[in-house]
Amino acid sequence: MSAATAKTKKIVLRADDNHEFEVDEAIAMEFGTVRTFFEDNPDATEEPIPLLNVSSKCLSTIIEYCKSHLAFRARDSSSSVEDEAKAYDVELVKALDNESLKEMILAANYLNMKDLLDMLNQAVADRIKNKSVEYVRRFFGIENDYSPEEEAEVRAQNEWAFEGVDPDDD
Amino acid sequence: MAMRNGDWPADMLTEIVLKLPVKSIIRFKCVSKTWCDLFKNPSFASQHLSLSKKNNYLLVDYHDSNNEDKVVMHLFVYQTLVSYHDLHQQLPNHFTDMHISFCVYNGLFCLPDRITSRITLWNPATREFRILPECNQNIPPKVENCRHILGFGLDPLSDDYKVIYIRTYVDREKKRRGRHHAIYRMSTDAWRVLEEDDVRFFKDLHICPNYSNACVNGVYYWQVSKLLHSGLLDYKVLAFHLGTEVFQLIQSPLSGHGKLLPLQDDRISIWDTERIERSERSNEIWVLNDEGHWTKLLKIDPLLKVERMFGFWKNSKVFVESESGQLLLYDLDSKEFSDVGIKASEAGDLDVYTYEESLVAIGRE
Repeated sequence: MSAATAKTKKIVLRADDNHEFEVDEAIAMEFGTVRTFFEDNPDATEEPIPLLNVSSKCLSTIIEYCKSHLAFRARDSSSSVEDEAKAYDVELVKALDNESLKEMILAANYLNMKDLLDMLNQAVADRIKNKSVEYVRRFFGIENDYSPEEEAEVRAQNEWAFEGVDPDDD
Repeated sequence: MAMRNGDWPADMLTEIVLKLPVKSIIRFKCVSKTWCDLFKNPSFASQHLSLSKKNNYLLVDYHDSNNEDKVVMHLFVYQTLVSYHDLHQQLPNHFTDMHISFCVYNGLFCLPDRITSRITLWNPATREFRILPECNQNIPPKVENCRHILGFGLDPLSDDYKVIYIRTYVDREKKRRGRHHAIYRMSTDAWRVLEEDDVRFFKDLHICPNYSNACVNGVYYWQVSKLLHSGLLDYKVLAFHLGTEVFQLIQSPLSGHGKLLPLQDDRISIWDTERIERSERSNEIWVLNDEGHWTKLLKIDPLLKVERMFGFWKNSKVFVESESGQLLLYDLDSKEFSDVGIKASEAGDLDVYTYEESLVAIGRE
């Protein structure tokens, strides 16, 4: 563990499996809960911050996300940088399977990171929007509380909405 | 609202489904009864609409000269102006009128059919429509309908959509003209005819037709004019408050006819940018502030001569119509034009609106 220097103050974040990550203060301040913690306890910078509900895998991905977006913001706010940032987000999400995406959302929510959470929520919405009803039930673990007749009736009222749905292959 | 789910917290699920397009939401009513109830909740529809407005569309209504002058109601993604699709194909089957002058607000269309004289409310995203009942109370038996003026919008206080229908007619028996004013409320599915006393103060004013009117913040605005003894036209703005259902006359800051347009920040503006043969236009844009006074927002280069303007696009650009009926973007800073790829059959043909997908239910239960 390095001592805090005037230029690049480091903060240690600890994941739920006790794995520790040392990051620049600027990165740590992107985490809403961490920022709030330091606002309330300005002197507590030496101790590692426990992030109880966040796995190492999530934490490491989120740290990379913060580093990249901080770098994008530091450049300028032109539309080409915006496009690059969006492309980065698309790649990040592509690499996440459904279970990891869920973990990331729960982590972003716990860490109070609004932009990341919005982006991930949109990613889930995009992932399911052309899927079948059965896929969505499986994805979210939802129990079907319709009787077969009830479900058929609701479907019949909105048959057009079932056109062009992706086949269930996953 | 509790949602049965695996281990996804309920509010997280709501945040996700709010970002779904309308067609997906309609299909996912079948996922479970709890999801169906959530989607039917008016507050869900309202939150969904707010998000939908951030991903809205430009709607251009015109005879497409690139396609045999067919009537189209074409949607373009607002942010990128990329072509999306044509709504005209999806008009409800009973529609007989080919080129309609409609009102659109919050993703709902108010469509008058000149041939059948019936008004239809239509939500293309949910594919629902409602044909409004007729309203002939207080109209004398033998009349010729001369003109229809429509207004449509949301009363934000009661969260109710309302239609204003003003008809000018000639009474063939008594040989005189009359005007009929009625308000329709979606919540009651009924018309109310306005009393003479409520409308007498503007009865001699001519209400300008539908291409220059707008709904902003629960108020519907039209241009009105009065022929003075001098032979000149005096212009004012007629406002209808959707909440109190009361008309009001407001002074116009322009001496001539202008175009009423809503601004992004929910204020009404009037543009002195229409090309009218005999009068000079100032290319000024005025905004109505909260106290009911007009203040000048800006003046576009007076040397800029285009047929008409249709409002801002992303702050520094304006939609304009060329003499040949093309829709172009004019950059206020660089003073350059860019082509949007839309060409109407002639100048004066096209109309520009904004449209967003909406979950608002229109069908009768």
